Amino acid sequence: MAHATESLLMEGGTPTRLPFPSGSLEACVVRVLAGDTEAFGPIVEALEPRLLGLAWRMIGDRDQARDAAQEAFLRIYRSLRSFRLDSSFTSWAYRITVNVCRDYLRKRGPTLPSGADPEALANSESHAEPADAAVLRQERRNIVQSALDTLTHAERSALVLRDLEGLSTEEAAAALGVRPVTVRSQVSSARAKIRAFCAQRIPDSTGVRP
Amino acid sequence: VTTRHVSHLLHLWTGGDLDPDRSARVQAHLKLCPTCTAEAEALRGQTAWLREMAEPPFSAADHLAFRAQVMAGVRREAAKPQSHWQVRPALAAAAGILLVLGAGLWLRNPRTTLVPAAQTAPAQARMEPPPPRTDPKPVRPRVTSPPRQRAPAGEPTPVTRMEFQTADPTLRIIWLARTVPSPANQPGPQH
Repeated sequence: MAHATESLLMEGGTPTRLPFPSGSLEACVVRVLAGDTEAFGPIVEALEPRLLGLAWRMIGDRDQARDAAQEAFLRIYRSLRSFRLDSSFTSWAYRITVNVCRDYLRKRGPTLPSGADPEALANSESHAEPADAAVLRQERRNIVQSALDTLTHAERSALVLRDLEGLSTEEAAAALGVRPVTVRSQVSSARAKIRAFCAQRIPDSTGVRP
Repeated sequence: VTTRHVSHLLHLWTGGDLDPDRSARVQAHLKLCPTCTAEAEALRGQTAWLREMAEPPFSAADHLAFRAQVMAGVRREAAKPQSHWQVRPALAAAAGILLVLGAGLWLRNPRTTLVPAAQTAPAQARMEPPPPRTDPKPVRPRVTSPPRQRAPAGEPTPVTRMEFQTADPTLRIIWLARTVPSPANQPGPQH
């Protein structure tokens, strides 16, 4: 059953009866389209941790990730009329965010190896652990970021969505706009590269956890 | 199932991407092969370890501040005048119609397209019979020219006025054109 977004709005912009639960993201979308800007708040609340995390994992820089996620939310807001209510809003939002992050990565070009991020170290939940352990952990995080930087944009997007965000192959494919077989191939290649990169630098990075 | 085949499939198997038949074959092999079992454990461990190491570094305060920042941006976006969004497609459509009509007129008679109708009447009469007098089609542009007075040689020709009514009733495009004689428009020798 296909719901054209605008067909759910009456002449004056008032929502007609909705085929969604009142608290669902799709219901919020309809309210926003009817002119209730504040209805975008629940959408931000539901998606913000995932989209900001996705942006950070894709870009690897806190400030740029914030900017990219902010840009992604604004694009989502501006494009709400083109969203098809019979599709997954989360996948659609992921797709927009991945595209914004790819734009950022293209503009940024190749990166230097990640350095220590003092702010990240301070905000890390592990700040209660001994200083040596925290430093070691941060070093390993930097190595992982460097390993992610060695991937192509397509491999990185697929690996982040599939392994780090926990999406299924089909969901990741929908978010990336490619076929599931493409995602499997990219994820497989990315895993092999990450494994080889980390094995050289962190002996216990594969199998046995540190 | 050889060890090599299972090694190749382990990436897919740990990710749950194998079809049930091949997944069962891999599981059966793993029961017999300690090397592949260790490899599978390593792959699973790598994914979990990677996820832990790539945990986003944002605190709860960061998330709160970010949400407020996003909503402020959205409110600014909502406060922008909507006419900005509505006029742009209308202008694009009008420009497209203008281009198509202009190109059509030029292709029909490239030498006299921009010349006022009164000036080209004799030439058209030679080429085709005069059109029947009917009401003009609503989609055609209205072409008018000022009261005709033959301009002496060397003086500028009168201006042709073309009006296009767009889908938006408040938006009308008026195109003023004046013919400028050009050597390229003169008929060349016939071969």
